[in-house]
Amino acid sequence: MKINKVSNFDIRVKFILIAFMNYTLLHRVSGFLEWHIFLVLFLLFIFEDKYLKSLKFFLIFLTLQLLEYYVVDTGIFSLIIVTYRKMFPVIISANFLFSTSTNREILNGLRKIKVSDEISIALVTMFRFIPTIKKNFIMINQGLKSRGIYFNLIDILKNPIRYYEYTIIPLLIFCNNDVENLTIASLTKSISIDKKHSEYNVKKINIYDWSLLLWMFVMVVLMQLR
Amino acid sequence: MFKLKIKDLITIGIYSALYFITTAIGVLIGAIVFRSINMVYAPALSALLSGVVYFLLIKNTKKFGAISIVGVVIGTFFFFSGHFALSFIPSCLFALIADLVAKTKKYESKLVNLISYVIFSYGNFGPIMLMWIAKEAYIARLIEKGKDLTYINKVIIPFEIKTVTFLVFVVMVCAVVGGLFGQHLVNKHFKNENK
Repeated sequence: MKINKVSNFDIRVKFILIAFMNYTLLHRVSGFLEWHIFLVLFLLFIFEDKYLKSLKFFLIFLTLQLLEYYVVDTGIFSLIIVTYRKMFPVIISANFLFSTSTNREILNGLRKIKVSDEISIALVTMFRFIPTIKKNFIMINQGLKSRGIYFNLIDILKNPIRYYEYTIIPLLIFCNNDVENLTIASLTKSISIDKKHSEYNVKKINIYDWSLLLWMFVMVVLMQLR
Repeated sequence: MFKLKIKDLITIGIYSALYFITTAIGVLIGAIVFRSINMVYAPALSALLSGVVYFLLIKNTKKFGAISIVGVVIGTFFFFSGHFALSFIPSCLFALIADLVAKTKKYESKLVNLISYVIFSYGNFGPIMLMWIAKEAYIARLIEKGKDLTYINKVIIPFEIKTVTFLVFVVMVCAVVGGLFGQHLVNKHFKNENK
């Protein structure tokens, strides 16, 4: 049986990290500070044994840098690169949260920071369901092809409204069925009970968390002084 | 906070995911058709595509809070995906107003629900704010590279009252068309479905 590795970082610190990255976006960090932030983000993945992911993000970042400074000079494409690069730290930090925590941990973390159950359950369900929708969409398209319709892009462009109807309605039916199944599953797991939930593993703020928090604090001070 | 049961919450979560997908498709179509990265037409195209999801959500929940929570969830997703923290505010605010409007007729009136959908669609304007922030960074870089202001003005579409009014109008028209189509699809396929 595959056992998930317990993350070194507390879920609350990961939330703070995302908020901090949004703050850097607002301050339009550049130059040394920007490189420094990216380096720490890549290191975080290494701490969690996600070497390939760290390398992948590093290569994307490097490509964006190179494209911006050497290849593309002006125009819309350049604007895409600048925008994406500004958003990139937040995207990496969100990826860090979702790739190193389970849905249950995220739900527990949201409860700990006093987010109401209504919002946290809906939020976790949403993140849990995006990959399922993709899977269902592929299945629906295969179904359409097996009936001899909508083989390629040209077919779709010829009658887009009908294609939209033929895909969105089965998707909604799938969703309705998933609601039923997930409701039953959640009832067996007592997600909706009002009393305090017991924890099997009580996660406390450790040295990794404190180091990350301290680093973020120093960076905020540096950004303010800049 | 809201009188929602676990089934309603899961419904909201799943429909939020679907709403997010239709929004993303709207953004993609906007980028391909209009060949523009400033995403000004993204809320309009999203409104055109998301109607059926919105009305089926209303049909399946009919409780105050459902639309508001979708707004919060979508806003949180903007927050997580680097769309800048302020994207969160319009998304939540317009969703709450839309929820209150739909509540006046207990989520039963087609016309009021349509108005509520138009209001809800404006929540997608949040991420566009990022463009103005990134644009400033982009302009700063162009200046660094020695480009003159005439060139910059050619590349960047300025943010003016006239442009915003036009966008608000386009979103309204698209939301009405998308909403009517959404209501038609819900009636056609889910009319006899019990909650």
